[in-house]
Amino acid sequence: MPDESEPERRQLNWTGFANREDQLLIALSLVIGVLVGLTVVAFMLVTGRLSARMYPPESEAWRRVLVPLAGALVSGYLLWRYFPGARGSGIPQTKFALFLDDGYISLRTVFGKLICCSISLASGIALGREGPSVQIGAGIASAVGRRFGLSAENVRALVPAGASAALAAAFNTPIAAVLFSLEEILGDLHAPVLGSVVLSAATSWIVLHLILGDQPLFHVPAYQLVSPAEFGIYVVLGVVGGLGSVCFVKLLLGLRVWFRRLPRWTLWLQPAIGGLTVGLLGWFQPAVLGVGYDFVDRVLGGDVPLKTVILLGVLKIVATPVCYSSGNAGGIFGPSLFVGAMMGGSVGSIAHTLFPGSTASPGAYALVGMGTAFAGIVRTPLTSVIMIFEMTRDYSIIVPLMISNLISFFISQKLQRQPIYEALAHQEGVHLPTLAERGGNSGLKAADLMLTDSPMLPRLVAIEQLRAQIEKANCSSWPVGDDGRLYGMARDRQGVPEVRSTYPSAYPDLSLNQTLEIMREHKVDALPVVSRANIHHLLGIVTLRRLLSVYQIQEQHEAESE
Amino acid sequence: MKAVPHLRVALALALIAGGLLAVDRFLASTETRELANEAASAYRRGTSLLQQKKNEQALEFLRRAHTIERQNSEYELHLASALVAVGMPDDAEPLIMDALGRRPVDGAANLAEARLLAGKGRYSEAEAFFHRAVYGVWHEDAAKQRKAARFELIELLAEEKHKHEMLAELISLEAEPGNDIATRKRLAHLLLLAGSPVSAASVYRALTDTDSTDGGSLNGLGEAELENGHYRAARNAFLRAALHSQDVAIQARLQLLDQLTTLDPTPRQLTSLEKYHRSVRILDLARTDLKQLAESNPLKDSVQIGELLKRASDVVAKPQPAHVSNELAEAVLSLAEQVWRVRIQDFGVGTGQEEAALRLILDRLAP
Repeated sequence: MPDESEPERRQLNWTGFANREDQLLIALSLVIGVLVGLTVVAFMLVTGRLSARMYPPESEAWRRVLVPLAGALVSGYLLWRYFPGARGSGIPQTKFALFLDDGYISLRTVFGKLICCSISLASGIALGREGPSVQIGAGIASAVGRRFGLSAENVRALVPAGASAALAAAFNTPIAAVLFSLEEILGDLHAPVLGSVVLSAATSWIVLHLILGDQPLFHVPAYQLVSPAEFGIYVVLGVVGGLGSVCFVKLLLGLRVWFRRLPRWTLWLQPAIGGLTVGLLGWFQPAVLGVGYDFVDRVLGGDVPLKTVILLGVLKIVATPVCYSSGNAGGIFGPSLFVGAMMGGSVGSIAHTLFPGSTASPGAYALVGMGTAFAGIVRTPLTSVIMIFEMTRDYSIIVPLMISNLISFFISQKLQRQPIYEALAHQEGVHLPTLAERGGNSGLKAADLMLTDSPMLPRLVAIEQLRAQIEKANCSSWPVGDDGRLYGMARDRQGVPEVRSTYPSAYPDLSLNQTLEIMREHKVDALPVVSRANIHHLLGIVTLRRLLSVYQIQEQHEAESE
Repeated sequence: MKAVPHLRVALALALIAGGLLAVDRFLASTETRELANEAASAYRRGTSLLQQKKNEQALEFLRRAHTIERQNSEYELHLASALVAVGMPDDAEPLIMDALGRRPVDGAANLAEARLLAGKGRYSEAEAFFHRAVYGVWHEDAAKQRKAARFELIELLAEEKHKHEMLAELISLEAEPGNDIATRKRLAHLLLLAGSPVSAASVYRALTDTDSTDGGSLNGLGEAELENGHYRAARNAFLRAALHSQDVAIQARLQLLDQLTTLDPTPRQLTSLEKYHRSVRILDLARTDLKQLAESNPLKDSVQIGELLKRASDVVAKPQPAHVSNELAEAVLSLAEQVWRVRIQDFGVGTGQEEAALRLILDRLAP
């Protein structure tokens, strides 16, 4: 995104905030809360009404096969032809925008997300609306910030505010929305944007209540812990939830790899595979279609037979990964809660059958199960606990929730090392900065001292050419590749060029300390600096000598100033 | 980024927000209307199926209606009724409690809870909820609904044989204005069950005064008078009822009353001699009855029974004295009462048709 010029920023004077962007940020957080709240409510209502028209009460079974197929084809074409940025859940895309593009999300993407998700979710694609809402909210925040001529840094600061506003409206849980923005989007619970995130979430939640009233997302039963022995069953639920989450994530990631291997021309057709799959499953079990919150409500009420609950849990674990991996627009929050409710309902039903006198109704377990799956799949344990707590508004659920959620979280972490959004980002070739990497982002960065004028050598480089280059740069290895694609690092091994395809690299936003640390760890004196959005795109080369010379200059400068 | 007039941006955002608000309001009202229609349609289907006793199918539609409109107590309570009907009272209770939580004075919700508790055999708690239903708030046709709830309570009390409480409810009900004929008939029947044949007869009499061809009321009047011991009045009522009904039960009742009128030793116009003859006949019937039972059950206290039977046989076999007084007849009746008490004590109450007259006479003499 282009930077704003100083004269433009001075135009902020009309509000009386002359160059006081911080104050403007607070005001804009409220504006964003209102706009995002209104947009997300409209999104939910449009999706709901459209879905009611696609599936009138007691409609014919053929609709359940053809409507998702048609919906996936239409939205698939629109995504491929007009809105490529609106594909997928919206959470990774929001993070890409936040960390790689200075918070830039185009309005086109926002509209595309709204249109494509409305079509696909209304047609019965087994995905959720919360992830897309986050991207829509973040996109609106980004657009508002840009229109007001804010600096890139402040536009970036507004993105989590938009995300939390969207989630507060979509889930009706403002505290969990704030936590999610900090825990998942920013990955930092101590983020300095907390104020604007809280304000926008609260505003959006108020808008939601003004329009839709005090209707909870789920009608949860009164929670009760019948006996302390139930803690044991919550441990079992945590284990089941963790294993179920791992199955869900591994299937989704595995299928995504498979779909990515298909020829590019099939891109617009791929969502139809998801549509057809969910349609065929929906032919036999209609509740598998769509987000399925109505059915979650029934399971929470404890009025669904055990067999149906188990079957639906399994079917959703298949349907959602297929729909998501095939490229349909929609998120995995809602399906996570659905799968969790089914797992919890199953465990609860079995426990209640075996120990009727000392266990609560299956609905109570379904409720805890929702948080368990969320913690296992999305890997935000704090958000998952607070979200369910906000839904029940009952303090007594906290301890069982913490037990189950943390067990599920640890099992999921053990069996699936990468969190789902991180793994999806890596599949896209994107490597987002970790919290530690972001922590050292003050002062000079790798981008500031990388060599950009020294070209990459060809992959089949001659030894003379390699020697000349490494002598010139005073280092022992140099990047090689073809057609602008970095292949590896070459070095002189007794007169023969040795090319290693696995090599350490640095990102342009890393601090000098972090860059130096990578060199020390891998015992190298040159690092290719690559784009986070594409690790094969070489941006420059940073050498140990250049890095140390910068430190000397710094030291000299400090000595002079003292 | 090119220069942007920020005031215009703010105005544009305000316009967008206004537009979105209008869209949201329109969509929200559309959704509310459509969902209400869908819920009402599901509810109609559900209640219709419920009336056809297709409870399982009804349950699905009622669930749908309830899921769409959680705050609608009518849907919630009908769903609870369907759940009770399919044998899932535990699932019904939270729904009823939810409705009661929202409106503790709701008559329908209290009635539903009362029915549920009665079904579970928790009668005293059920009675409390029936009372709350009777005095609760009803949305439409309150008087009729309250009356129906009170009748249900009375029937529960009748089942429980709580005659005093039953009578108290019936008296309140009787005092209410505007009772139609069906209600008055039901009332009279329940008064009879509650052990108030005088009041029952009074209500039946009023009914037969209004419509002298009403066989049901005449029959009821006969039963009430029979219970009162007014055998002639009862016989008259049954005779009038028989004119409008071919019911064999009426004929059986008339036969019984013929027996009673020939056995009854209490009418004032009876001579001492006639009273004595009737007393001896009553004693003979009681003695024969006890003897048959004693012979078929030899384990019972045969000494006491033997002595009693001997005394009774002696009295029956004794020739008629030259001078018969009321006191003599009363002495015979006292012996008959003793025989009857032993019979009841050792062998319980019989149900045979042949001993019905004897039972009615002696129950009246020695209640």
